[in-house]
Amino acid sequence: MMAWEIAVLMLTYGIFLYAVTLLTAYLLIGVASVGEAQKYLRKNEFSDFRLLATSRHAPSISILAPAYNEGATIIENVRSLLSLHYSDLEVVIINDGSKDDCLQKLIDGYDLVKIEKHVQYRIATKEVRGVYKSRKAVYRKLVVVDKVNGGKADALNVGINVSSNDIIVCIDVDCILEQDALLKMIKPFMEETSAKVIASGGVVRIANSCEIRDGRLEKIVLPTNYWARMQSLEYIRAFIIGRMAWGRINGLLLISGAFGAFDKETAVKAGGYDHRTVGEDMELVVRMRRYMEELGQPYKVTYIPDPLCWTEAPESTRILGRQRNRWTRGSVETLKMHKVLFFNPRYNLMGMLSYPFWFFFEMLAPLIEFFGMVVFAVLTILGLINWHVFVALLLFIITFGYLFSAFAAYMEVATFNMYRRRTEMMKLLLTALTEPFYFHPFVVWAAVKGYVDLIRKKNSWGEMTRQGFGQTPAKK
Amino acid sequence: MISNETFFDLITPVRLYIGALFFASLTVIFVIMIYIRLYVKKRRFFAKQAMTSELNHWISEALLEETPVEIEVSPTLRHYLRKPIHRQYIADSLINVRKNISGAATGNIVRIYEQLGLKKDSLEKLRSMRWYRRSRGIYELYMMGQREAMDEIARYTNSRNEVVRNEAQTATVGFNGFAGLSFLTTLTHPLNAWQQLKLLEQLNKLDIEEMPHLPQWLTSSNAYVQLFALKLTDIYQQFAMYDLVIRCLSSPSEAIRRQATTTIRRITGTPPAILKELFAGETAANKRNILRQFAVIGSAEDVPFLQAQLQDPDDSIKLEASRAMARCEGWDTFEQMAVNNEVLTSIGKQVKYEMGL
Repeated sequence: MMAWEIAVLMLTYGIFLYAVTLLTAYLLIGVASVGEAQKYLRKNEFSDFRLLATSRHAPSISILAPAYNEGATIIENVRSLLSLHYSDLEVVIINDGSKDDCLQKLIDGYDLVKIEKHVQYRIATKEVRGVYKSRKAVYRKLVVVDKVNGGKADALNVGINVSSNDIIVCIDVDCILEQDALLKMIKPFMEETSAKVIASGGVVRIANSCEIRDGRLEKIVLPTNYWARMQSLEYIRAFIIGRMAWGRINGLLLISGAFGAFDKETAVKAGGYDHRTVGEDMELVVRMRRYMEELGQPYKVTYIPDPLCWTEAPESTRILGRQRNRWTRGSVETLKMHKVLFFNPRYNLMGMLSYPFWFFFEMLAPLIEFFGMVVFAVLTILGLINWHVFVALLLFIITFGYLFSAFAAYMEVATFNMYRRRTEMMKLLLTALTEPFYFHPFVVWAAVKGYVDLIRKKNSWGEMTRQGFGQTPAKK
Repeated sequence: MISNETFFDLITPVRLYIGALFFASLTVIFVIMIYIRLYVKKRRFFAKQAMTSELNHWISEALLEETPVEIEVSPTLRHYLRKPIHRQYIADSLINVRKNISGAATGNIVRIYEQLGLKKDSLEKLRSMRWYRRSRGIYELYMMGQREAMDEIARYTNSRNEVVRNEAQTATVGFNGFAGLSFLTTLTHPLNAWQQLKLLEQLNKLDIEEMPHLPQWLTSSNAYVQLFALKLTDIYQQFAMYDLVIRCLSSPSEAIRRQATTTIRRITGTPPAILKELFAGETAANKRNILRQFAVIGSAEDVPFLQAQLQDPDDSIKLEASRAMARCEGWDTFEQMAVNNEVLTSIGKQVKYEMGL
């Protein structure tokens, strides 16, 4: 057999093996998510979360919310955070050297005054210029930190340094949290006895087109914009199916930066957020897990499937492309930083399953797909395509994708059922039909551009313009 | 031999089409299931509305009347009561009302629950082999004050299933108050922080009673029981437990030592010498906690000890030591130490701000 024949053979079987493993993994994830979702709902169906809101025995929490040029919406965003149901709460807003009037608006809006506060730089950060508290007792939970600009990771590290409580909840300041979000998020920290809960992730849902008043979600509506609607389906798949299943086996590597709770001590000991990567949310979780594995201490990363956090998704290809580009760079950077984990039995499940899964099916997937598209184009030009096989294979893959989306939509209806109208569900399913031809190739392309940027050492966050929830557009 | 031909023999277009057809069929099945679910949920929604309006009528009557209320089940409701899911909804609605009221009216709510035959359902759930049905049965019976089920429920306070066990413990304390805590003596499973909080909140509503088994719990081999007993000692200021609490300060469990330190503050006027002895070997979190207790029960005698902690490399320890010094007449000493010390000066400013000095 000639060398090129061997290469083609290896490629054929390699891709086939990859596809089979991927499809099997999705099937297993789907099955695992059903049992876990059912168990969660049954376990919590008569839990009285209100107990936590007022009990003096409840753990104290610090919310950390970095803000950069959020002047247009900051007053509303902070009001929303202050209205959350939890009595022993501290809301730390970190003004990351905003160039707009964000800090001044906070000072005026909440009657803030600079206080004497010693900041211990347990995690090295940019300089803190001042810490502010309100003169009004009604805003006693609020702490505003003004610092030199250093990026989101640096701002969060400052928040960790300044915060007073043992559990920190890191959020995006413009997210809308459900009123009982903290109560549900903290429960796993209190329930676990066999292992220390080092982090807990919550579900993030898309708030585009939803009715929001005074920083609260009034009515849930499926996004009218195609790209945002497609992301709604994507988030349902990722959060209700994917993370549910990974949470079940304690294999989660990612907790969304938009809403996640952490054990502060572990986060500090692991070194806090790393500002060298744009995927700081995933990187922290991986590092905290690695730290615990190296110590040999039992730990858990839990996951709450309740829809607790609502965020605005990009509605244009320009912004969505930047976001996916950044996610790709973040994943690659994180996996590269922790390459020691790759199939390393010392790190147990994380080394033997979670990391390799991310490596092959999250990090490499866009490259493999892109490579497939290029090969397809070349073979078409050379007239070497067996169209009969190609069409059959394409149909096979597309229908599997549809099946997974329909299953996710069913899980959504069977569990939290956020989109209750039949027309909304119909729109969601019809949108899913377009995914393989429109949304998915775009996302793959954006990820490939992420690789290109990574090679060219471009490490910017990329401007993320948000519309704001019925507000003047603000830039981030 | 493996070759490209073998591959295409295996992955034939026909097989792929069959696979695609299979996936497409499953997709269609899921879509149908989605719409069936939505339809069922909508029907249930309307059924709930109808049941709620009927129930509201009874409930308002039950809340207003001091005397027992007799209810008349309408044909509509009788129709709904045939389905377990609707019976469950009615039970849940009554429980929700029961949670938010007190006094004579609760008797009427319980009466409605019994008259509708929902108690029988709860007992059936209690006897189910499935953990989620059993725990729900316990919850319903407890919420509706069905004392006759107490013995049966008490059997599950040490159940292997955590949810069942927790509900049974909650019910036992709900029925018997402080006496219901007797399960702690034989508990071999963990009592997690959430469950401890639930029990403490339950007890919080009651007048304090004797806890004759408290010494036993404070020396329990179950670390969770020990921790919970320390909390009880703290909240209900069980001064007689002083020696046993001191013993807990030497526990291998960090959480127990921390709680014991907090409890000490509540049952004594002066910090015991052992706190200073154990300090050096403690974790940072426990060190901070010990210093917090000195801020409350410490005195001028403790200033040298606190002063020594200002040398700790961890600023959070220095801060707590400074706070304690400010409250133990040691502020002058602190200010002397802070001269030419940037960190202590900064900490000092914060403490002065906090104390309004």
